[in-house]
Amino acid sequence: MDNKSELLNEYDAIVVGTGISGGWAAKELCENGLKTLVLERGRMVKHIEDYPTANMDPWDFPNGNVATKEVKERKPKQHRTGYVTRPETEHFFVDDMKHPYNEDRRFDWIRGYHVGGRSLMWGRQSYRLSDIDFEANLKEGIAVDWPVRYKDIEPWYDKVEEFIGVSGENLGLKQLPDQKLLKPMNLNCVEEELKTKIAESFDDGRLLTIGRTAHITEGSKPGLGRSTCQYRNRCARGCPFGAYFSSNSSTLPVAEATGNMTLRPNSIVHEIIYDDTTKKATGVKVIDAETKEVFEFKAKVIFLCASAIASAAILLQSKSERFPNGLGNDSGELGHNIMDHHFHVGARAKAEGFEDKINKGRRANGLYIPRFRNLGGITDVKEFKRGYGYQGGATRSDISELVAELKYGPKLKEEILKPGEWNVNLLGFGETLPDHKNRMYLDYNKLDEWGLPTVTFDADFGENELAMRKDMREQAVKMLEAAGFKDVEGYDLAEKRAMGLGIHEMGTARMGHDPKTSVLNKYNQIHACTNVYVTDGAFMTSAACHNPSLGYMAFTARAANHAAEQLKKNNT
Amino acid sequence: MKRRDALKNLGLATGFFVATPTIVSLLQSCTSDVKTWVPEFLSQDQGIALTKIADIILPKTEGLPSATELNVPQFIDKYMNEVLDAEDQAKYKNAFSNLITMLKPNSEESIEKVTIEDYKVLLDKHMLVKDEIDEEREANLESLELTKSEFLNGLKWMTINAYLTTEQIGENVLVYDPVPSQYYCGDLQELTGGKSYSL
Repeated sequence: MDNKSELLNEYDAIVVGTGISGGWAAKELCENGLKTLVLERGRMVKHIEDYPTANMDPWDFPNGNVATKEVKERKPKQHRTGYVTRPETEHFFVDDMKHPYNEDRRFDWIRGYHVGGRSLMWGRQSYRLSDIDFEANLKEGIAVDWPVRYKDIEPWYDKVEEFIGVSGENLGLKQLPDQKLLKPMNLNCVEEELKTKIAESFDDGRLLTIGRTAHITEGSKPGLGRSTCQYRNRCARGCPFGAYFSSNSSTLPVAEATGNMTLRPNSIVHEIIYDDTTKKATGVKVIDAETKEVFEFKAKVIFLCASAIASAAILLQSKSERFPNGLGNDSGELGHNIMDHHFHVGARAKAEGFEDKINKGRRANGLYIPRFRNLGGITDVKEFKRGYGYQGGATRSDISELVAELKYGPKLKEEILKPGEWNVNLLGFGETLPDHKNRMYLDYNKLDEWGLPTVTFDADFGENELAMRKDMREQAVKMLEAAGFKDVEGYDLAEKRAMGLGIHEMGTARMGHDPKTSVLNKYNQIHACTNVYVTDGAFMTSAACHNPSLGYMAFTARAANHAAEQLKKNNT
Repeated sequence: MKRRDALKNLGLATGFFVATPTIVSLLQSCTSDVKTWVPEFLSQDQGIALTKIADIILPKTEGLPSATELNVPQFIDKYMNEVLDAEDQAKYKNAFSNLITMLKPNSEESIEKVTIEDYKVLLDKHMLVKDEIDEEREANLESLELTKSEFLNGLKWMTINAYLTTEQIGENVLVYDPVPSQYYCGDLQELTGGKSYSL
C-alpha cells in the first residue's frame, strides 16, 4: 500500500477514512474501475509489518502488559475502557492530549488514527439487522423510518460475509437472520451446560449460541495471506495470520491490487467543497497531519467513512451559502441522534463440577444469547421498547482461590501455579433509542493543533435504556440460576454506563425518506448533494442491539456500487 | 547478558526447566545482584525489606527458584515507579516508610540486622487473609491510606504477579501454549497436568 503513484489533483472517487467502511468503499470503487484516492488522517499501518506487539508475551513488556502511568496521563479518555491503554494495543489508540474533545455530558470517544482505523482493534462480532430492526421506528413512532428493508440489503450481507469470513451457527431466528457462516467455534463445557439449562427452563424462545465473529475458521479468504484462527486471542494487536477481518489484511490490499487506489495517510480531511452551480460536491480540503501543508483534491464522488462522529464533524465544517449549517444539514439533524449500545449490566456466577476440565486455546469469541424481548406474544414487555442480547462466556481463572487464604511459603507457591474456579458472565448489550437531544457539535473556540474546531458531546442514555437495564440484570440472574450455578450476582456498573464506551457511535447523519427529517437517502447519499455518500455509523437510523460493523460493510458495498453505476450512467 | 539470552545459551529456553543451584547462581550473576541493586522508586532500606518479604512469600523450593532469583523485587520497584498513579505511589511510599519503622524502631540500626523471623512475625500478625478481620480498616473506613494488611497483601499479590510474569515461569513452569490453533474444553490432567497456562 505504498503511495507510489504521483498524486493527482483529480480522481473519480475520494474515500475519507480507512476503517471498516473506508476499506470496503475503496475496494468496491476500485473494483468498479474508478480511480480512487483514499485519505486517512493517521499514520500508515502495514499488515503484519506494523503489528509490533503481535508476538509478545507478558514478560516481553517491561511492566507486564499493564498500562503505564505515562500512557494513562496522555490517554485518560481512552483509558476509561480500562483495557485499550495496555502496551499490547495503546499505540493503536489516540493521544487524548493531541486529539482533545469536550463533554457537556460524558462521552467516551475511543478511537485510533491510522490506516485500518478501528477495523484493526474491533470486537469482530458480526450480526445482521433484521426487519424487526428496520421496521421498529415506524411501528413505534420513534424518530424516522429506515428507508431500507432487509430484502434490499440481504444480498450485500451475503457478499460481505463471503469475502471477509464470518464463523457461527445459523438458528433461523426472525430477529437474527441467518448468515453465510463458516463453521462455528466451540462452546466450552460450562457454556454447553448453560445452553442446555436455558433451553430446558424458558418457554419464550431464548437460547444460547456461540458468537458470530469475523474470524476464518476454515479455508482462507482474499487479501494478504488470510488463514484460519489460531486461538491466540491477541486480535487487537493485529493478527499475523490475517485470521480476522481488518481493512489492512483484506479490503485495502484487494483495492490496491486493482491498480486504481492511491492511499495517502496523514491526510486530515476537514471540509467537503460544494459547488452551488452544479449542486454537487467537487472535492475535499486536506491538511497534512505532519507538515500542516494544505491541499485540495477533486473527485466526481466522495465517500465519507471517517466514523460517525468525525464524518459529522467534517460535514458540519463544510459550510456554504447553500448549506450554512453544514453540508446536507437542511433537516437540522446532522450531529444529532447519537446512539451507542449500553452494556456493563448482567450477572456473573461460579460453576462447580468442572474442576477436572480446562480449555485448550484462547477463543477470541464468547457465547451469544440473541434478543428475546418484544418479539410478539409472551416476549412482549411493557416496561421498555426494543431488546437486548447477551455476550460473555465461561472462563477458568488462572490462579487457585486458595492463594487468597495463604500468607506465604511453599504451599502458597504451589497454589499460584494451579487454575482456579470457573466464572460465568452474561453481559447484556442493549439497544439505545435515537433521541434528537443526544448530539455532538463543534466548538470553534477550542481549536486543535491544526486549527480545526473540536467536537463537543452532549448525550446520554434515556429512560428506555434505564428500564431495559433492570430486565437485563434480572434475566441474566434467572438464566444463571436456572443453570444451577453458585454465587449468582447481578450487576449494573454505573461508572461504565457511559455513551461511547460501547465504541459503537451511530446516528449522526441518519438515513430517512424525507430530507426534512434526515440527512441521507436510502443509498447513503446526502439528500441534497447526491455525490456525497456517508457509509459509516453515521447513517444508522436506529441502533438494534448488536454490534453494528457488519452492517456498515454491507451498506458501504451497496452504496459504492450504486455510486459506480450512477457515474457510468452519467458518462454514457 | 539478558536473562532470555542466558537461558537460551544454557539450552533452557524450551522444555521443562528445573533450576539447579548452579544454574540459578549463573542466572543471578548476570542479572542484578541484590547487594548492588539501586531501587528506582524505593529507598535502599525499603528495597532490602521488599527483597526479604518477597522471598518469604515465594521462597526457593525443590525445582523452583525464589522470587528474588527471578528479580521480582526489581520488577515491583519498577512497576511502582512506572505504573502506579501518583496517588497510589504516595500510599505505597508512606506504607513502606511505616514498615521500616516497624522493623527497626531505632533508625540508626541497619536493616540487615532484621532477621527473617522478625519479618515472619510481622507478616503473621499484620498480613490478614481470608476471613481475618482488618481492625485497622474497621476503625477507619474512610481512610485513604493503606492499612498494614492491605499494604502487605498488596506486596503479596505484586510478588505473585511479578513471579508469574517472568519468562522462566511462563515458558518453563506453567504451560506455555503460544499458538494453540484450536479451542475446546478438555481434561485438566491431560492438557496441563493440573497446572495453569501462562498466556
